[in-house]
Amino acid sequence: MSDFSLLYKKYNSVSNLTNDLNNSVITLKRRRVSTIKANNEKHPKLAVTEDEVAKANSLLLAILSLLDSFYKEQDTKNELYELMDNAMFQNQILKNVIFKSDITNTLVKLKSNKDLTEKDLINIDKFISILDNEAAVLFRKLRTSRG
Amino acid sequence: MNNFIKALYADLLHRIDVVVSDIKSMEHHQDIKDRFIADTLNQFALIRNELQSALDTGVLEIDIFSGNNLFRFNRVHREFKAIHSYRYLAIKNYKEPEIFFYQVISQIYSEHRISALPPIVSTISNHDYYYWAVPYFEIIALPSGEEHSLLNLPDMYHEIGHLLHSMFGGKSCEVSASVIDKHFAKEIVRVIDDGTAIHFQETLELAKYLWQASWLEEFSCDLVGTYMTGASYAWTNLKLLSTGHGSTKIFEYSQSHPADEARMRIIILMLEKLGLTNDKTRVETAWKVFLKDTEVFKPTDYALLYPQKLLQHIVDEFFAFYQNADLASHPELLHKGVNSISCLLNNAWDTAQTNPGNYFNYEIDSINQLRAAFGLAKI
Repeated sequence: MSDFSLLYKKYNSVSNLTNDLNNSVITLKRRRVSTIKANNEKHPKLAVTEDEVAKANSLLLAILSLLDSFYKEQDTKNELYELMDNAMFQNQILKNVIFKSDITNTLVKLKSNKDLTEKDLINIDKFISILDNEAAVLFRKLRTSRG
Repeated sequence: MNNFIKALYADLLHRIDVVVSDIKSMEHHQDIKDRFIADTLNQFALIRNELQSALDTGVLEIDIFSGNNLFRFNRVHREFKAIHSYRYLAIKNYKEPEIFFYQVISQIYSEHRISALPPIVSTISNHDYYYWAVPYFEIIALPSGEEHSLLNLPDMYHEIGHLLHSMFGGKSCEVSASVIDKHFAKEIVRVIDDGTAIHFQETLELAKYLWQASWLEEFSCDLVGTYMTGASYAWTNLKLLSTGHGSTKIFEYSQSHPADEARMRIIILMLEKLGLTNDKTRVETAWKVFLKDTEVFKPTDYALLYPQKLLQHIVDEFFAFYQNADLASHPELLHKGVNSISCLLNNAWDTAQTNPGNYFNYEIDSINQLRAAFGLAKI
């Protein structure tokens, strides 16, 4: 009879989404910077494999499709429904017309296997930032809501 | 900024190493030595590798990764705090009560033929936080001092219910989930069609979401408690809602829990399903007295939330699933004459109600008999 179990489930869901997005962006950024000779010489482990890039693109496609579906219908079964109470998610993701249009363009590129630009990755970073904020909020609740 | 972030990573690596070193230096009881300790060390190792790998690849040296490095740190730091709070603390606190409860839960798993390793039971909770469970951490937490009492113990079966719900992937109420979803979708269409959407649509939309997000799992955990301990679970639930909420709040629901009124109704339906007719009558009689005069507190839209036919559907599906999975019910243990924990809990509730003056001695004697059977010293 515990709020703890539900909160943990919600936290885990948001935290996993954040992690998948963040790792994917890191992979794509690593591919970009590892093509610079100076970086590669200084940090030879920066390079990533084509498989890692393909996995990153595939995860980004899945998660941004989730967001795209949520723009169309705010379905209670969508994982992002957990964020409905988050004011930043409401204002900066759902109601921000420019962001929505940018994300739609990024999704088109992912669907047609085109490389993402720096601007695309910055936009995804914004989304990660909001997810990270929600994960922190849920984790704080977790610590005070056992029972 | 990069140097600051590297400092955060270095600090967390050190904290992990200190805790891991402490765990490795302790003498552990055999109950937790292999699995729980090994899993905990493995969880610490996973987050440590992630931090170390970030340091090794060089991403902490380059500005464009700053934000991503911080996001990763935040998540790993939360993971560290969670493992620290819910596993490390349980390991540090693994003493006499935990040894007793591990014996109790192992016996429960054996009696009901639950084919999984029992979780660790830790008394790191208190009476405000009460009983809680997290499948991921393989732990059930009870209030400190709970090893001296029996009348709350049926709620441990509710927490076991959360672990079983996770283990079965929600399949014990899979069809009900779909039936309930369709029911609320139809109801939403109905109120739109008959022009009452302004009054009821929002409530129905929320209920549709909460049934799937949490309520159905909570009901299934109540059914685990009742299926496995019979009337004792009903009495413990009545105790909890009497002391915790009172009759004025039995129609209130939350994000995590359905209304107490509906929970008592589903428990009574399960007593009936189990064929525990006398127990059902006794519980229902007490419940009706409790319900007297509560009608004024019932919200106008309450009737829409928990229709009896949906509760009955959940009970029927759950019962068939548990029977099919060969999980022993309380009546089965009763009829076989097994001296089970569930029988002990029912006897405890009977004694407390019929002979309260003698209950203190009865409870001490019962717990000591149980401890003797586990080879543990008297309390």
